[in-house]
Amino acid sequence: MEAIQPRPFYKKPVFILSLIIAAFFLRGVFLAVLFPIFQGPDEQTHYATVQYFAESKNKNWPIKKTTNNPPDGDNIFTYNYSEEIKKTAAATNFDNIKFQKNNTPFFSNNFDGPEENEIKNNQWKRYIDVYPPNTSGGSPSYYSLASVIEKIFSGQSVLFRFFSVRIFSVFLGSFVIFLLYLISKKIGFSEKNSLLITSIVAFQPMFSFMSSIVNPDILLFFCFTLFIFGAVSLLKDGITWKNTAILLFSIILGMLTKGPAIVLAVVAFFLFAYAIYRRLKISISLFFLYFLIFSLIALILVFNLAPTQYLSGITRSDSPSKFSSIAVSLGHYFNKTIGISPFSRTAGSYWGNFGWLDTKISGQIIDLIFIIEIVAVIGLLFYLFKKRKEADFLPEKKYLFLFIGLIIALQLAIRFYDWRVFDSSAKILIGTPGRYFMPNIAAHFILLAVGFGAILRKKEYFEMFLRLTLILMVVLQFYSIFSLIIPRYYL
Amino acid sequence: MNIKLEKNYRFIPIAIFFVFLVIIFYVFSRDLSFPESDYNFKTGGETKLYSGGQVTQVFSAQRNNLNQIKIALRNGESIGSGDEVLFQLADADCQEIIATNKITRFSIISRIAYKFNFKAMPDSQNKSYCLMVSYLAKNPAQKNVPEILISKDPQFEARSYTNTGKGGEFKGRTLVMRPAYGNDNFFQDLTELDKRISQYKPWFFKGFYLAAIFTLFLISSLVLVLILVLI
Repeated sequence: MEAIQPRPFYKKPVFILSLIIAAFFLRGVFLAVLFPIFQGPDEQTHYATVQYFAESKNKNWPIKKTTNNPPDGDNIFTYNYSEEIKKTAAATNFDNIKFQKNNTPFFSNNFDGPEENEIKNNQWKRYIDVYPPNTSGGSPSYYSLASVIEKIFSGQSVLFRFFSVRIFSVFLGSFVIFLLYLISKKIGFSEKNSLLITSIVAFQPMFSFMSSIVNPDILLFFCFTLFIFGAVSLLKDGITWKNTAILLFSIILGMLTKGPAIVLAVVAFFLFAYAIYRRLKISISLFFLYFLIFSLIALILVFNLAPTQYLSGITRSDSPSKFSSIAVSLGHYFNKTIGISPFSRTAGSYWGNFGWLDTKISGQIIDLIFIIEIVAVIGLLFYLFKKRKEADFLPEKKYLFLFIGLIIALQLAIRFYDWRVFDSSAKILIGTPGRYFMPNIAAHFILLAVGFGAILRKKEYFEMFLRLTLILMVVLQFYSIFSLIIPRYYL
Repeated sequence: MNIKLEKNYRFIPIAIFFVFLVIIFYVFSRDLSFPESDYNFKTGGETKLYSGGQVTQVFSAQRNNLNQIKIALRNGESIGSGDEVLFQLADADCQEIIATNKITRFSIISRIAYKFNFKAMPDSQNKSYCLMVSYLAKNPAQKNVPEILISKDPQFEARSYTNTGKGGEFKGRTLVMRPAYGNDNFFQDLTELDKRISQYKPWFFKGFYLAAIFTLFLISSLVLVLILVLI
């Protein structure tokens, strides 16, 4: 009898997964270096908030209060940040680089920038002494966690501290990648396909970018992905303490990170209802009766127990409308936001619009991706509505309905909030940049993969498709780095 | 038809992968030149490249090895079929042509800026050169034409450009363009790039450490692709 040969180390899933995470982390760190300081969207505000959270509790310095004049977006000195942030930004040509792709930092002929010594050896104040501070309001979790890094390295220069916080973001991104692998495995993809799907997402250029800057969004991505892991575990294994704890933790952490996480609570409500229905084995009509009663109770509880400030914050119910009626307001909003051009902008910034959204991936590439996605959606619909399951290498439909539910819920939440702001200002102030939809990146990519799996129908064709997709995604990443990001800031 | 995907077929995606990588790195190394960085442009409109007209600007090179001019060209999609935008570098009197390049409707233009590459001029420092840009269109009456951004910032008071299609010289303004310089060899170019990226970074992101991070990122990505595609 022939002895079973052990697999060589490079074929072992643990090794390949470690390599995916290592490659993601190294690329994330490299991207963290490539973007000059404060050149992520609102990155100076996010870092100012981290610094604000790291300030000593008893603020024993003189604080000057000013009227709440809106700062001038072209002048960093009009913002109520710490002196250190304002002067570092000025020394690194921040105002002239932001949004202006014809400008770069000022370079010297050596490894230190012209003003670098001044930044490193500065005695500038690290606290905000003009109020109200122009920090990010609301949810504190990312800033609290990052402020620990700020405190630990308080003896180091602002460059050291700032880029350390960026590395913290890369760590969070790495966890997302790890969770995606667990999700893919859990819902029934083979070991190999799970690794391929994970690596495809790991090379998505905009996700890599968002994992490399100081921004709470990456913690939100983590919360959504953790939630999805908990949700698919619940769908597969039923209600357990572990699944429940994961779901609750991700919802709470998400809500403490950024507003859109509210959709997790809503989806969880339906998810638990479904799981309970499966366990109780009651008739569908009785289930709907119970569901209605519990939904009513839940709504009453939410409206009575949730802080009024929180509810009015997410619904902007206190802001007076600029329109004569809701219908008029919605009509104007849809006119401005529904159409090929706004969707194309959202798609462009989902796949790659880097820095201060001034460094875009080519429109032709976005168009090509759009066509690929349309094909995937057709395949997905075909898979969802065909009764007989032909491709046994694809996940069960219940998981896909969960992912679709999450995507719809996040779309509605973001567009609802965007409309509420529009309603009170008659302007699109928030918008729908693609990164707002990125918390669902795991769900999105799995659905696309399933769509193509349904079209290809054979496991080996599907694997070949995933391999090709991986290659194209890596190429897209390399193109982003060498044809866009490096030329934008350094050449 | 039942196609069996033998292991050998897996080399096809790998071949595609390396073809793409070679193109990306070829374009990157071809355009690797270091533009002047000691001034900012505050864009103040654009000047149109009228058919048959010419936009020219004389500039002085800061360094030796001038080998590129980075130009903020806009509305490139307006270039008609069979039309071309002609870029020429000439001596300070705009008489003797030193280098020429052209783009057509089908040229792939960087989304950042157009890079007019030419053979490096080893002793360019402090010498003046003339950039000339013309639009050669079949339809002279074409209104939607390519444009070059301009800047009217006071720091450029001493500069001027001419646009023969728009009526002559415009003083106190400049085309949004940056002369760029190479080094004696590719390794020196990479070293200069390493220096530029290292600036305003903490010590662990500078010089050798930066090069190490880049190398590890590159190797880990390539090894990962090879393993996942070939196994």
